[in-house]
Amino acid sequence: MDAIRYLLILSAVLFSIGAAGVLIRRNALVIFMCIEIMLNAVNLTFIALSRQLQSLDGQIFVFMVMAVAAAEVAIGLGIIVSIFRHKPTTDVDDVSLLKG
Amino acid sequence: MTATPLETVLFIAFGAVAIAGALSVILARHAVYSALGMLVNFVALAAMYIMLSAEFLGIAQLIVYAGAIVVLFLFALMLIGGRRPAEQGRLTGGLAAAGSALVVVFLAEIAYLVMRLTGTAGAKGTVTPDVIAQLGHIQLLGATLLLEYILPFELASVLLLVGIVGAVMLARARRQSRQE
Amino acid sequence: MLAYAWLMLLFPLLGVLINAFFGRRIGKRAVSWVACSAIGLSFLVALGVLMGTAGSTGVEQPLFTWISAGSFHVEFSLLLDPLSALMAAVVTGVSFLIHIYSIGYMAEDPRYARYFTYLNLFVFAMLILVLANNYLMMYVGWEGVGLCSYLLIGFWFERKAAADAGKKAFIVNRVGDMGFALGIMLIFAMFGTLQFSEVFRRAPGILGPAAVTAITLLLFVGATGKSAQIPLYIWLPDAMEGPTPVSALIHAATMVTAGVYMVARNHVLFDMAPTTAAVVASIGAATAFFAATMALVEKDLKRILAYSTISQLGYMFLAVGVGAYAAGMFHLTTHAFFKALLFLAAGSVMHAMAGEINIQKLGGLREKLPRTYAVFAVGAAALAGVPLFSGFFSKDEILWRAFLHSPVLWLVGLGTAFLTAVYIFRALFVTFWGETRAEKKLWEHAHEAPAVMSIPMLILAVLAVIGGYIGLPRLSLVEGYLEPVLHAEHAAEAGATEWVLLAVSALIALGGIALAYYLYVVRPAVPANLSKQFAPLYTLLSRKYYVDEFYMAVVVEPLRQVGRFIAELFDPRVVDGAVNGLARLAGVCGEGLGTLQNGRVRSYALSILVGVVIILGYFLLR
Repeated sequence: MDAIRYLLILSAVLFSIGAAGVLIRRNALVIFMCIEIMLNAVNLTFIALSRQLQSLDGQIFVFMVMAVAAAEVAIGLGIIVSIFRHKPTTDVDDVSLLKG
Repeated sequence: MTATPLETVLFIAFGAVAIAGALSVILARHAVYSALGMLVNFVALAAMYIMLSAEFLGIAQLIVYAGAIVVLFLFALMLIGGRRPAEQGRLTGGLAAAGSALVVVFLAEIAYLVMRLTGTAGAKGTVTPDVIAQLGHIQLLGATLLLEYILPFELASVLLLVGIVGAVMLARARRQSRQE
Repeated sequence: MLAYAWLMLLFPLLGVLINAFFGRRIGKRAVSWVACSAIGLSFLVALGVLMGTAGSTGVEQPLFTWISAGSFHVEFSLLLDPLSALMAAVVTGVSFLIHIYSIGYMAEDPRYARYFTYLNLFVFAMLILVLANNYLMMYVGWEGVGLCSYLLIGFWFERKAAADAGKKAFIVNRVGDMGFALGIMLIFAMFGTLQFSEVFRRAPGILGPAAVTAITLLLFVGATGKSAQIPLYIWLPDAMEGPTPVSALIHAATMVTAGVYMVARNHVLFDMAPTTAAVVASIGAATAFFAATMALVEKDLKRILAYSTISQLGYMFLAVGVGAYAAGMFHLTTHAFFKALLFLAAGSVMHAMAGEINIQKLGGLREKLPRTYAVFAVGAAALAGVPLFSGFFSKDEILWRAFLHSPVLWLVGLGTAFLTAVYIFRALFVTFWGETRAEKKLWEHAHEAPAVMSIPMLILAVLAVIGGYIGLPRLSLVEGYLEPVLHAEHAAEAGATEWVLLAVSALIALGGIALAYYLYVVRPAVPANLSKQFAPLYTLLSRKYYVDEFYMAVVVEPLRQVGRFIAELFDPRVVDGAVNGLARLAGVCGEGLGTLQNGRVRSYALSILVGVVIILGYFLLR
C-alpha cells in the first residue's frame, strides 16, 4: 500500500473517531475537542494530497483552517462558559430550549 | 510518492500514536484526560506534517493547536468542569448506538473510495520536496499566501479580529448580567 | 364648442369631489351652489354640443387610452352626434332643474351634502353612458347610474322599506346587466372590438341572422332591467321609497330611459334582427298596457306615476321596436319633461302634507296649492295626450308608426292611451278636487312650496306644453335632427290616414278624461261599487298581477332554500370541515416534524452524518 492511501485512510479513521465522539459524548467540552480532532483529520488529508500533487494550494487551506479553528475555539469556549454561568451544566442534552 | 523504510516505520508509528490520542479523547472518563489525549494527537500530527515537507505547518500546529488551543481547553475545564465528575455512561441509548453504526458505515465507504483511487493520477505541480528543501518551506508558503492568496489571507485576519471582539463581548455581557 | 365637450363630464365630477370631501364643512349653501352650478355649466356645454352636432354624422373625440392589453384596446372617447347630444342635453337640463328643486325639498335633511354628491355622481355616470363611443364605457356608465340609483333609493336607509327597495332595484338590475354584459362579450367575440363605429360598419359583413338576434336579444335583456320592462319592471314601483326629486330625475326622466337610448344607439344591429325588433315592440306594448292597468287601482300617488313611467317606457320600446327610433327619442324627451314635472308636483304635495302620499287621504288640495295644482294639471294633460300638449304629439307619432307596422300594436297602444288618460286624471281629481279627506291638522298646515321649488316646476310646465312642437309631424325637428344618425326611413307621406289617427287618439284621450271626471267627480260612489262588483279583477290589479309573489315563490324562495342549505349544512360541514381538516392535518404534520426538532445538538449531528453517508453512498454506487 503506497503512502498516500495509508495517509488518507489514517485521516479517515481520525475523522471517524472524532465523529463518533461527537455522537456518544455529552460533555460539551469533549464534543468540542472531537470537532478539533475532525478538523485535524481534514488537515492531514490536505497536506498529504499537497505533497502528492506537488502543489502548495492544499497547505494554504490548512493555514486557513488553523486560523478559523483558533477563532472558533475562542468564541466556542466563550459560549460554553457563558452557558455554564447561566445554567451550571456542561451536558449538551440539558441545553435544549430550542426543541420543537 | 515513495517512502524510505525508515519513513514508513515512522509514519506507522506516528499514525498509531495519533489514533491512540484520538481514542483516548472520546473514551476518557475525565475531560482533562480527553484534553491530554487531544494534545498527543496534535503532536503526532505535527510530526507527520514535518515528515511531509510542510515544516512551517508542523510548527504552527504545535504552537496553535498543541499550545494555544489545548491550553484554552484546559482553562475552560478549570473554570467550569474541572472538579465535576464526568457524565454517567458514555453510550446513551439508541442515539449513540445508531451513531456508532453510521460511523462504521462512513469509514467503510471512505476506505472503499480510497482503495478505488487509480494510482497517482492527477495534475503534478512543480513544488517537489527537493524544491522545498532548496528554497525553504516558509519562503514558499509566504510567497504563495501574500501573492496568490492575499485576499483570503487578509480576510482571515478580519475573521480573527471578529473572533477577538466576539470573545470580549461574551465576557462583557457576563459581567453586566452579574452587575444587574 | 365640440372640442370642449369633455367639460360636460368634468363639471359634475368636480362637483362630486368637492361635495364628497368638503361637503360637510362648507355648509348647505355652498354645497347647493357647487352642485347646481356644476350641472348648470354642464348643461350649457351640452347645449353648445347640441347645436354643434346638428347635421353631423358624429365626431369621436378621444380623451385617453383606457385599456390597451394585447389585441384588446379601448379608448376613452366621447361620441358626439345628434343622438348623444340630444340625450345629454335632456339629461343635464332636467337634472339642473331638479337639482334646484332639491335645494328646497331636501333643505331639512341631515345628509344634505351626501345627497348632492350622489346626484352629481349620477349625472356624471349618465353622461358617460350617453357619450360613450364604445360598449365598455357605456357599460361603466350603465353600472354607475345603477349604483347611484341604488344609493338614492336607499337614501333614507333607516327605513327598512327604503333599504329593501334599494336592494331590490340593485338585484333586479343585475339580472338585466348580466344580459347586457353577455351581449357585450358576444360582440367582442365576434368583432374583436367594442367601438360602436367599427361594430356598426362591419356588422353586415360579419354577423349572421342567428348571431345578430342573439346579440340584440341580450342587449334588450339589459334594457328591460334598466328601463323596467316586463319581466324586470318590478323594482321601479318600490324605487319610489327614495326622495321624490330622485324619483323624478332617475326613475322617470333619465336613467330608466337609458334602455331606450341604448336600443336607439344600436339601431344598426336591431334593424338587422327583425325577430328581436318584434320582441321589443311586443314587450313594449304589453308593458305599456299592463302597467297602465295597475296604475288604475294604485292608491299611492308616486306609485301611480311609477306605473305610468313603466307604461310610457313601454311606448318608447314600442316605437324603437317598430323602427321609429326618432319617435322613441322624441317621446323620451317630452316624457322627461312632463313626468319630471308630475313627480315634482307630487313632491310638492308631499312637502305640503308632511309626506302624506296616499291619494285617498288627500283631496281638495286645489284650494291650498293652486300653483302645484296648475302644473300637475299641465303634466297630466301632457301625459294623457290632450291635443296641443307635448305628449299628444310624441304619442301620436308612435301610434302612427305602430299602425303602419301592425294594427294590433296600434290597438294596444290606443287602449293604453285611454287607460293613461283615466288613471292620471283619477289621480288629479282625487288629489286636488272634491272634499278633503286629510287630517285637520295637516290640512291647516298645508302650504305652497317655496320659490326654489316652484320655479323649476313652472319651467318644466312650459316645456311640457311646448316641448311637443319641436317634433310636430310637419316640422319634425327631432326627426330631422336625428336623421344623420338614425337614418330614419321616411314613412310614406301621411295624408288622410294620419289625420284620422290623430283625431282618434285625441278623442280617446278626451274620452278617458271624461270617464275619469264622471267616475271620480260626478259619481264618486261608482268606483267603490265597481271594485266590489269585480272584486277578483280589482284584487288582481291591486296585487299587481301577483308578479312579486310569483318571483318570490319561483326565484327568491328557492334561492333562500339553497342559501339556507349552504349556510346550515354545506358551509359548516363541508367547507369548514375541509378547512378544519386541513388545519388539523398541518397540526399533526407539525407535531410529527416537531419531534425531530428536539433541541438536542447530538441528534442534529446524527442527521448530518446520515446525510453524509447517503451522499457518499450515492457517489459510490453511481
